[in-house]
Amino acid sequence: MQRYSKLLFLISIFPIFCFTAASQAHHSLVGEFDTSVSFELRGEITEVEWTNPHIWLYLDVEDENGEVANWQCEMGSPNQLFRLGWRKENLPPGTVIRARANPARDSSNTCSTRSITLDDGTPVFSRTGNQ
Amino acid sequence: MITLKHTLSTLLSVFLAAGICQQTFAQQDGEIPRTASGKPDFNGVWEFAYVPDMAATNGRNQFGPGELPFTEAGQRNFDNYNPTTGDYTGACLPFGHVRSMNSPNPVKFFQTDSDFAYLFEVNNWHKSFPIDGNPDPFALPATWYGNANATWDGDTLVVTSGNYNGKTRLDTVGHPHSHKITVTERFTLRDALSLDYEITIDDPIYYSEPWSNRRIFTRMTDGFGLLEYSCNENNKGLWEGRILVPDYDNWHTYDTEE
Repeated sequence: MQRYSKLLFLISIFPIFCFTAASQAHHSLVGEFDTSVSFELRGEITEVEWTNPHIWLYLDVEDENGEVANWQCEMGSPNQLFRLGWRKENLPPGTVIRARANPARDSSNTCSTRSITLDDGTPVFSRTGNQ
Repeated sequence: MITLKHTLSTLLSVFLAAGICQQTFAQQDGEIPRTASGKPDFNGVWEFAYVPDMAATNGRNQFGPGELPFTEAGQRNFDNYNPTTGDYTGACLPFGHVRSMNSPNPVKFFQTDSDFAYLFEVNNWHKSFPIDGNPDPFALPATWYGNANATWDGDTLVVTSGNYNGKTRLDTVGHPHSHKITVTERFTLRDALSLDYEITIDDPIYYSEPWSNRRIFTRMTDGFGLLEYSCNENNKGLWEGRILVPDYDNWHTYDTEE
């Protein structure tokens, strides 16, 4: 199976005032990410770093031209997710996810996200816990 | 058009909110755990609301004062706060006492008859101090977490801290504090599983009068205890240049020689 056959490119980018201080980061998100912009990213997980201070997700995202770029997206602390029943194994490489994200201010392929789902909309690493 | 139904609904909401607030901090009648010496027993792991803004209220378990009584220097400092030019917590410098108590991670209280310690999960920092030891907080060097002493006021533990180095901020949104801040905390067990917490900030440089934030802490019973938290182990934001270390030469908006 072609590795990137299921990937889609960046779906939309639109400015929304989004105060994400309640996103429970160890630092001020607005210093690193533009929290006034929110977009949705869809891609295939290539790696999950289950570390403090932030979990990092790496995903391959395909654009409208079929070009694939690797993105890195920061999530919250793994400690909080662990207590909610989540484990690194819940998101194995190859999984396609959708992430609601804020872009990094340095314009790199870096984002911050606190809301991700599987491609079918099932929440993953959510604060409602792993039921 | 404001209808009678709307007015009654609004009044009902106000009365319910007042009732909830009254109940939240009313004296509880339930049994509280006690140590062998008869003091309220705070030992254990406690979780609390993440408080990114100490002035705000979430209506559930943390209640801020609303508008803060800034001095001119305080308002200027807060208005000028810009984490894009430097974020000390993002750089994994010590978060500080108040910021740690505002974090989204739990704290473990370790209590004996003579000493008390906060073991913060956030970045594995701690703050320990005597109970009724009456040390002079200025006898030791200024610190990121302040120097403290605790005493009992009935069944309430009162912790007073001073001699901070002034290099931290109170919360995520950047409310400032100076090296002249005094922090007073009051812990009162409601029952075996919850406690009332009140923190009072008294900083004559940045605030014209003391102000307080109140919360309810909940004892954690998931059995995990504290989990390790190393801020430095994978701080990509700092390593890749998206987070900067603060310019401490221009951190404050008053003459630091005062």
